[in-house]
Amino acid sequence: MNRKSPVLEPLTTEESAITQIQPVLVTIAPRVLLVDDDEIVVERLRDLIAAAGFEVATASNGAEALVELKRQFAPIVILDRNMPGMDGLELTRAIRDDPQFPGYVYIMLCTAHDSEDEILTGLKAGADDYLSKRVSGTQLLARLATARRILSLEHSLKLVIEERRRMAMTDSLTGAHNRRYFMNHMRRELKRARRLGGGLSLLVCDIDHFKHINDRQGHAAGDDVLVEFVRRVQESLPREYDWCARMGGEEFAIVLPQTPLAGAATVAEKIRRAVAAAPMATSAGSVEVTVSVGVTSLSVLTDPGAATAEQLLRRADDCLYTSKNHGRDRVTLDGAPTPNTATGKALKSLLYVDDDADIREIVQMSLSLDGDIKVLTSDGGERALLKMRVEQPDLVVLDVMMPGMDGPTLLKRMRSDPELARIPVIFMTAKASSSETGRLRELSAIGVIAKPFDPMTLGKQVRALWGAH
Amino acid sequence: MGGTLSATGDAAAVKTRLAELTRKFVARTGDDVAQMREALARLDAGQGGDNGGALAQIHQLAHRACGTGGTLGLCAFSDAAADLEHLIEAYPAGASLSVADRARMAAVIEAIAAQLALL
Repeated sequence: MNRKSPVLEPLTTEESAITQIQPVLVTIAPRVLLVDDDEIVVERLRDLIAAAGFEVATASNGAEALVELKRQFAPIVILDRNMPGMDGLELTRAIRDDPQFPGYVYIMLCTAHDSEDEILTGLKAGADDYLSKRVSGTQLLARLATARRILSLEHSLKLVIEERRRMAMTDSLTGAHNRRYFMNHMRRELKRARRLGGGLSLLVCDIDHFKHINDRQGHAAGDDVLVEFVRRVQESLPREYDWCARMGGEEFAIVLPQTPLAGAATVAEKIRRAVAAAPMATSAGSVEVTVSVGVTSLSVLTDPGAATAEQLLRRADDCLYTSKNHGRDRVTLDGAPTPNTATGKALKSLLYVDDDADIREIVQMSLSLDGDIKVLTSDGGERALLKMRVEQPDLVVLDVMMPGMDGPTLLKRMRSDPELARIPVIFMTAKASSSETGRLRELSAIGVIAKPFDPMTLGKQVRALWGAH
Repeated sequence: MGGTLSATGDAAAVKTRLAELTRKFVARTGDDVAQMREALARLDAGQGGDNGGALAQIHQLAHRACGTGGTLGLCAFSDAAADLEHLIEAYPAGASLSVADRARMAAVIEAIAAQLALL
């Protein structure tokens, strides 16, 4: 049989960095717990150790020592081997068996004698060092310095491990958690939600047209947007147990423990608004950013007890997809009958297309009465399509009768253009017969407004159709 | 608990405290030696096989004297106490002591008392 001997892989740079760790000396002298049933011994050792700058706590037997250790941790324990009740060996084993302590306990076992047998049983029980009671003060302090050196080494190793764990779970650009963290911790959140009840909600957010930002403003600006996005998200999450993970690219997951769907909807809308509220400053100037959000919650599932992280993610993703398909910059709730009713998106921009300049002016004026709608106009044809691509309006209002390309033709062109396909359309027509209205609706318009219209109520009509679609 | 010292490592203060603790130890150990003699007297009264816990009591007192004496740096005293501990450990538990054994033990206790008197 051909047996290959195991070959050690050479260490990577990162690994060798770990092996070269310099102990960070714990600058504050560690607390020392002295355990001895003889108060004269306790007092003598305390004098010596306290004079060397250590903080000293005392206990007169094993049980008392355990209580004191739990009350306030001490990384160094000097204990007498022979004590009434729980003796030094039992205390040593009790400390070693207890996983609850925040760090390693360096145990120095002390006894009147130093027979081979006693030393061996002491070390076997888990002591780190063994002292004869006759040890000189100088030697005692030297041994404490050893304890401190070992604790420092433990401390620095812990720091490095903690840092590496954090790095492995963190997105280095935004400081948010990463996908790995999400998958690990979502399982814990699910378990906790099952145990505690109170719900668990998941938001999936995707920055709208992020590719355009990268293409037009450059990747550095794109990175700035991601960082700023996470900052705004975190500002919108006041509870410390809500958390955000970058799942990849411009997609983020936000986990809201103890939150039912309705609460999650509020948070999602808060985030959407926080993102859209003000342009984001980047290295390539300020950029207007919006985000689409999908929201799901344990309570929406038919069997919440069997929910998995993957399942919730898939459902939130589906909702996100709905948000994207309905014009972006919006929130879609899982299980909501229509995507817009629960957290309807405000109508902010509109393009009115008409070949008649006078009517364009009247429409623009009357819609501007509403104040917060940005009204753009176009005289039709290819120019209208181009404007739609550039401006990405929330809504397009098309005159039906136009020379060259009429309203229905424009709509067909929009529906075959992936960038425009999802923009809702309202027709304005002078021939508002019921058959004509029906024909226009079949073309996937969300509504038809008759001409001549009332300039004072046009805005209301448009909003009504917008809100109902 | 009292007796706290500043963390500045004042060697003189530690020395003064050591003298204080040694005085306290000598006073207490004087009582301990008296108790050892009493326990030995109970053995002399001869309670047969069972020594009424007297041996265990002497052993425990000797052990404490040895350990605490060592901690205070009283080496000769600590050695004398260790001799007594070892002497008792040589007997199997519950063994009855001969007159010669008891005389040897009394001599070791007096050796401890003599060391104590030197402190």
